[in-house]
Amino acid sequence: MAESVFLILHGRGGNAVDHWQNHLARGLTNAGVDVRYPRFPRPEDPDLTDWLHAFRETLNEIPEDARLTVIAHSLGSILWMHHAASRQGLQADRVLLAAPPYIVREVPLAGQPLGTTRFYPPPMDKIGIAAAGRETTIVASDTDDFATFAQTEAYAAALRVPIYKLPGAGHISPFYGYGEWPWVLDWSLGRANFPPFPNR
Amino acid sequence: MSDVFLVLHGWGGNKPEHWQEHLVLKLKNEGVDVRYPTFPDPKNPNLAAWMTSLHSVLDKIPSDANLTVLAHSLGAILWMHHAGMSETPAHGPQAARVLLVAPPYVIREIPPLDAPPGAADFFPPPMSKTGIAAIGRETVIVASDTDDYSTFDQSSAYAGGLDVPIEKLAGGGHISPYYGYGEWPWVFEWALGRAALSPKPNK
Repeated sequence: MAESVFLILHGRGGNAVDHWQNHLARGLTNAGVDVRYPRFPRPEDPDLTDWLHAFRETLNEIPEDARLTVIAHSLGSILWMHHAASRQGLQADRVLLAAPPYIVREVPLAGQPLGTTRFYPPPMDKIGIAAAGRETTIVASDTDDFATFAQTEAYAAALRVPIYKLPGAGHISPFYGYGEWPWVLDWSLGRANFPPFPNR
Repeated sequence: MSDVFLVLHGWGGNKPEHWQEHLVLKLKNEGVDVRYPTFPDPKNPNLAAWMTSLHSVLDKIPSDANLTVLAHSLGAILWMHHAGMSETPAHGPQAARVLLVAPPYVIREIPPLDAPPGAADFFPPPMSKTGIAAIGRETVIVASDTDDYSTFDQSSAYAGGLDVPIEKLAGGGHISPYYGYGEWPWVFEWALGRAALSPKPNK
């Protein structure tokens, strides 16, 4: 039986203490499973090349026969799309891409560092996405400042992956009530299914 | 000095209930000069063809006209392209006032699923502060916080890039008939100089 490994990919800025990914990492660690939670270089001013490099180092340390679950948030989801287009590395079993931002490189949002804008547009490599993950799902809300649900649907359609709506969840971050997020821990451990269960 | 009103529609052209249709009708009833071009093949917009059409409309407006421009959706993006080509204005007078309503925010390579073919080529529009100031003395973006084609932060990025103010129309969706923007009394009053910003939402 292949060993289960969980890989958590954070977004720009790294994660505030109360972020659901921190709760998830702790919850998984407490469950006694193997969790990899890399901190990408200069999270406040991300550089795509540096992030991809760090990501690959982490991925290469995971046993080839591992049963891998990837849980990415925000810019971490965009990073995964870049990785998928490289068509390298082992295939993950399940991939959850939460709240990928939709940004026009030439017209970034106020306060976005230059390095972040270079992550856009992410490659829409549907074959690469299928090769990188056996089952990939996007979860997005309809009140996210970084992407409308219709924009995120454009990602899902181009990548040929299903998308689920988490109504009213904003950027699916602590500010919008996504500190501890019970559903995502249960889903990771195979104890809950789609659709995602929102926090209230 | 005569008043001229130029109304720029978005992709697909406008259904009869669109606020721009109501606006044109009511302005005509007031007896003022309204220009409301239908751009070529609106359901399959082509940037070069639309720009040629816009320029020929602008060329016919008297150089001393007091011009007000009211653009919606892709029409607002078209205006930004016009600005990018107009650091020295070459077509028509400088507009006195320009209202850019609900400009979509689109990644050219990953457009929304219901965008007509050709629309993606309008993106990204150039962010020319100099051009936008050269073609309009006063330019304002009006956007909502419930628009499928742009978050308010994304619309604010246009405002920042062009160095123009932005006003929020809360809950206005794409500011189209579907979202309650058939007849829109405020925009008519604003056009005639009888109402000021901020825009008054329909409820």
